[in-house]
Amino acid sequence: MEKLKLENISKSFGKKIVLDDINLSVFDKEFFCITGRLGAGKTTLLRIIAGLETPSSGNVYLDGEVINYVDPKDRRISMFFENLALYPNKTGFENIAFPLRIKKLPEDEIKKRVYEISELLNIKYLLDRLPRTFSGGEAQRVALARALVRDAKIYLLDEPLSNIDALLRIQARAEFRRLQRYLGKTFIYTTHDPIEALAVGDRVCVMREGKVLQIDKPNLLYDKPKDRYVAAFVGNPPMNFITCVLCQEDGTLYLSHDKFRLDVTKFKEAISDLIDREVDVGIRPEYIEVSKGRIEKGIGTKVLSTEYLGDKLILYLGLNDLIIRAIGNPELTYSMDEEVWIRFSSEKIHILDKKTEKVLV
Amino acid sequence: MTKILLEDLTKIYEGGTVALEDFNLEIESGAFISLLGPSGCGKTTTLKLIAGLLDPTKGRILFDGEDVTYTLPQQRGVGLVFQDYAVFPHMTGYENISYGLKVRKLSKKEIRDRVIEVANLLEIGDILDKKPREMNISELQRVSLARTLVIKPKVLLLDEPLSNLDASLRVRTRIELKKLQRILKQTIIYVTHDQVEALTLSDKVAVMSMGKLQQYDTPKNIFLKPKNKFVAGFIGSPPMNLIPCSVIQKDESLMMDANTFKIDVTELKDVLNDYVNKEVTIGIRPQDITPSLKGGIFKAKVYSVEHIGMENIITAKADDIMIKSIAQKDFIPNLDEELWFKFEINKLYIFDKEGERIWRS
Ligand SMILES: Nc1ncnc2c1ncn2[C@@H]1O[C@H](COP(=O)(O)OP(=O)(O)OP(=O)(O)O)[C@@H](O)[C@H]1O
Ligand SMILES: Nc1ncnc2c1ncn2[C@@H]1O[C@H](COP(=O)(O)OP(=O)(O)OP(=O)(O)O)[C@@H](O)[C@H]1O
Ligand SMILES: [Mg+2]
Ligand SMILES: [Mg+2]
Repeated sequence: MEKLKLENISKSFGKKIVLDDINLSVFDKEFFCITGRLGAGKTTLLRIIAGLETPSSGNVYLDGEVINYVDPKDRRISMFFENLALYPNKTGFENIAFPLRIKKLPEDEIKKRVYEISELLNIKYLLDRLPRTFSGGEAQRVALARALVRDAKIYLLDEPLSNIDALLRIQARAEFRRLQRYLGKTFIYTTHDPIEALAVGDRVCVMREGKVLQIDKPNLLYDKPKDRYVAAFVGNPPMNFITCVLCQEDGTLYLSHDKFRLDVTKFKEAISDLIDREVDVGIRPEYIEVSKGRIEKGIGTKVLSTEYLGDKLILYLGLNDLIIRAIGNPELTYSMDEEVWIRFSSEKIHILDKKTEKVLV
Repeated sequence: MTKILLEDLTKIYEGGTVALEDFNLEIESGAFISLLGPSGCGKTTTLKLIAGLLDPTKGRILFDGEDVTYTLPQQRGVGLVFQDYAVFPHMTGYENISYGLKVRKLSKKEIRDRVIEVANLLEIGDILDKKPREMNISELQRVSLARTLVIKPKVLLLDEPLSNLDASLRVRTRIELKKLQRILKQTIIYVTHDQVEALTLSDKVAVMSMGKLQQYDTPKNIFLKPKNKFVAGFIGSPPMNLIPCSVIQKDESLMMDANTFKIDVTELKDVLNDYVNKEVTIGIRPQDITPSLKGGIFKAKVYSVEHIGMENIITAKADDIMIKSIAQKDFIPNLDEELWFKFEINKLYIFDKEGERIWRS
């Protein structure tokens, strides 16, 4: 069932177009995640849903009704902002209890709810303290508790984990999903970390400069990005793009590069318009096989730099003047300028039209 | 170029919070080190003590052998960038960045050159005329970073300077910071709760918990040879699983009993002989646990599944323990489904009751 619908939503500040004809639906009880680089318009979109900003054009529907002119406080939408301030002279408990006090809930109900959410966010030890004694991450968790403790139709969470420490963030991801199921509520959640978006969202929406590029389930977004921006943005380390020429010879199609040649006849239907033109080949780092010794059909590259991540080692390899990212074996040592061979199969590649930047394969 | 020594540094805040306790650290001149730890562990407090913004309750701070514990902040040659960016609201970006140089009475031309240089580095060349209220969080953060970098302090203290930047800008700024340090040869202390940043940037990482130093070591050793349970459970993405067990002897064989499962560890007899009938904790990295539909060491119910692109993180619950494991991306179990999990003995880490590591292969 459709909970929230945005129809042709646009927003400009002066001459600057911040949201450009956004259309999307969020289903009831869905965990909907919006991701995009800074300035993509994520916060503005949430503010429009919450009623804190008026769209320049378009409609917002909640439960099938247009709510453009409904006062923010009557929308029953709870919002958490990335830079939300706590009340400095109220304790942690009173900060969280605040929205419940406004609703005049009975005292024991307030207590119960505040403790429940504090337990979940690991902040019980902060309930009696004042905000000025909180560390950065502690303050953010208390603010988050204040947004979640309310009873609302939709919870809008703007970068709720951005200041929370990494360990807690990874735990919080799994907890967030669980929490949302448990509350049975609709969440709209933003993050500039596409991996976090994949991890928490039932569906993920990628925005760029005020436009929606793609909305899909996490695995589809990763495996079937529709254009170059999404392909490059979603994934860490990001996808590699190698420019090749698509050639035809006796009924076979192959990608030609001065260091390699790859048969792609099986994709004929999708790419036959591009014969004799330059195309980009997209290949994710994890699909590149790396070998220290020469391998059959291997492409020679030079190690430019490495990044140690414990369980993984990211290799930056020079191929002509391109930098290729690949995953190395963290137990081996790769020295600067060492020659290594890489290879990948046509099963794992994407082929992109260089002009339209659309992914064809 | 300054060598920093922290000796028994202790800070107890009014109200009794022990933020830092007997903290000892030796930072080589020109080194890039990170303070890594969860929210509230005392990272910011440590930086404030080094910068001279707080007086310690006990202990000493030495710069190149000289006691500076009570030296005025402005005489220490230290630059500090805070996580909550500090900028003058009434000044433009340019005025903010050049402020410290003006105070130092540099020539107009030199001021201009240096401001432009850092502004380009941090990609804020086009907002130098803007006032802080017209900037977004990430721009503010970069202006505040530029303000300090432009002065070229001998010791640079950075308190999560990248936390509000989006992922790709963070990666680029990280690389630039590292390059900058090689050129300027400053001693850098970098505070972060993000282990990826700590592991990839620093020569050495100091892992902290509750005001205490847990381990000070190279990134590789922090990951492969965690000194104790805390470090093991903090590092890795997701971090190591820690499962309480008791060691029991049955005839000739030694078993590890975790309630949910038992494993035969007779081959570790030499290590475990002293621990029979005692409590220990075993540690196993998510990458080393394989979930499958049938066959394994123990059964657990799927609690949450996160698709993070190249792989899936599966969190499962067995009695009251939560286990995270990494699965192939096409392995997608249902919530609450029962799965088998297995791992190899030689991938185990073992910690004693106090949390110290007693074994790894
Ligand atoms: N009140 C305003 N007046 C003028 N411009 C604005 C205003 N609010 C936002 N903008 C601009 O709109 C664009 C989108 O901003 P928004 O805060 O929605 O992006 P975001 O995706 O949330 O970014 P971030 O990751 O930095 O939080 C930015 O370029 C921002 O500078
Ligand atoms: N002025 C203060 N008065 C009382 N307690 C304080 C004060 N400042 C910090 N604390 C407490 O001291 C401890 C350490 O705080 P600190 O700010 O150093 O943590 P941190 O490691 O920087 O955390 P974060 O990652 O959240 O910024 C925390 O428990 C915090 O609540
Ligand atoms: Mg935002
Ligand atoms: Mg801090």
